[in-house]
Amino acid sequence: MKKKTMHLEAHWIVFSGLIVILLIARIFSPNYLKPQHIFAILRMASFMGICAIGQTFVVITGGIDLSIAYTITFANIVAAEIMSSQNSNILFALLASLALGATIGMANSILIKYLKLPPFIITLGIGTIVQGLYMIFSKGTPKGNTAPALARFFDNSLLGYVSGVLILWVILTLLVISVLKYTSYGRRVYAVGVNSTAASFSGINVDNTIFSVYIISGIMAALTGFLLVGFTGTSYLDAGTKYATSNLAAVVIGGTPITGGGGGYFGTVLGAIIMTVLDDLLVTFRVTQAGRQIIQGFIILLLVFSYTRRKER
Amino acid sequence: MKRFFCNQKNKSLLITFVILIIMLCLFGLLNEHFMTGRNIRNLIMASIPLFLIALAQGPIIMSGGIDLSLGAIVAFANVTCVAIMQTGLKHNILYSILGTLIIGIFCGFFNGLLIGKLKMPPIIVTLATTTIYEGAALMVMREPGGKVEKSFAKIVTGRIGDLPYSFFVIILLLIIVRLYTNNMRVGKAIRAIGGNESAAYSAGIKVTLVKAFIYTMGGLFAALAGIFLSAQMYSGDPRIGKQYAMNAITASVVGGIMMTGATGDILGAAAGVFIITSVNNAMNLFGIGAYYQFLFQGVILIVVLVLPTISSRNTKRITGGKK
Repeated sequence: MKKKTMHLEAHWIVFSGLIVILLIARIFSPNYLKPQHIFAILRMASFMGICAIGQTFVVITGGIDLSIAYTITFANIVAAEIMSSQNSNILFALLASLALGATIGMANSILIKYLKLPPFIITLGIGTIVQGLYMIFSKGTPKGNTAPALARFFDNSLLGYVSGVLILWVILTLLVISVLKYTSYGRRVYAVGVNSTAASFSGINVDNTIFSVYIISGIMAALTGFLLVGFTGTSYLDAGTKYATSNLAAVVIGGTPITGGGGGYFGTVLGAIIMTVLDDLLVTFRVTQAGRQIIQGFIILLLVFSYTRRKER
Repeated sequence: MKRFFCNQKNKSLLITFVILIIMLCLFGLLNEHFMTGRNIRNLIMASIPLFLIALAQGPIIMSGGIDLSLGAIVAFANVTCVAIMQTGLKHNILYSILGTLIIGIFCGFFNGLLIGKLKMPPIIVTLATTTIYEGAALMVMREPGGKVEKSFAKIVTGRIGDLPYSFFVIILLLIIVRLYTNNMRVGKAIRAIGGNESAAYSAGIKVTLVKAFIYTMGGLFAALAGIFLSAQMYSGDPRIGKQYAMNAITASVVGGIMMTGATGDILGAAAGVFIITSVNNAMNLFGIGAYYQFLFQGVILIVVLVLPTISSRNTKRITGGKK
């Protein structure tokens, strides 16, 4: 199958790129490959990976979700506010965040279903509204702190190196990959992406499938926002900004074509890891934030270009 | 005259203008400060950067594409302009304007190259170039600051009576852009590409060239906006781009340039710009917090997106399916 070969090729490209980068890193910084460091990187990548789960589903259906970064921030702010350093509030904060994410996702879904307009404009519009909402909610200064128990989820306590969030990511990864590969729902998601007209002729409810993926995206983004409270200790107005472009980048670098119908979450995982490693490496080389951004942009362009080329062969 | 409005496209243009006029009257009635010469002047000055970017984004959307990096190009242009001017060389104003325009053209051309020639999807390309141009802006100037020559600022923000000079420049640019998007071959080519790209190819249209043209022009207008902002703010701000990217899309959509491409009149985008700016202006006058303005932007966009669906229920719709 041509599509399968394509995204497998992408995996190899990213994987070898990753190995090359790690080897280069090893030369310049002997401690780079030590377990502590590797797991620290993986922990950083978990956040990107989790928020990219939704984006992966969305892109496979041929859409795009540009509201993820804003959802992350909103959930981040709300979760911190609710938690206010109390362990007893954790569950409520989590549920509230997820509900918020689901609502935002549903708003996207409803508009996409009924307006039949390109997802990018709708998610961008919803994203702006979400931005307005969290600005109003927090009055410009987000308050609240993480509950201690949540913070412990993020230190490297398990097995000495492994962080709770990494385990969560691994579990989610296995779940997501299984759903996409082995369930009929997963097959429907791909079918809609390959050719939505054909999919609807074969009896798939295209509208509902598309409806569901944006909700997944909203929930995962909210989860990320919630987790970030535990990780950073508090909430920030730009909690989501670093994930704005990078969540899509991880998906696309991982080999999922932007037009949908192929790829998968494993690619996104690789994409998230390689981007985190690259960024981390550049920080070690003391490249400025600005420089890292420029390099990140070029890498995305390079990889997307090589994938588009391969597709045309 | 009547026949002019039988056309769906012109009908929505009319609706947009009617909405604009109603709003202006409404605001004028509700707040006595709104219709003052001073406020109108502020309104016009505030709308100029957005206007320029809408002139950039409009044709791009008509071709079925999008450029999310325009805001970043504005920021890049803004800081470059200030940075060059600060060097205090002889003719620094001239160099900074030229340099900034070159940067804008270059950035726009890079976008056009990737999208037109290498045929990469506009969304992901312009998302990536946004990070690149933003990074470049940050490299030129890490924090907002710098200063510009007083003479430069005075000319750019100067006025005759109540109308700024720049207003006339804008009108001129609007006429030019409208000319080439509505009447000349380029405009028809743009719309053909927006309607059905492969058909456009088959019809012999040089799609690559047209695309390169509109994205390059996009960069140029964004650079102009950056230059204007340098004079208006009297300084540079590498982070100024974020607001404009979204606003330009909103303005175009509000102005009736359908996201499915091919239809729309740049005049509508201009009206859209005024609608947005006057809403912001009115909100300031009424003392509504800045945060609510964010909210409003998004709501306006969604509302406008909903409207055509309602009004064109009777018209046959061409499903674009393009992103």
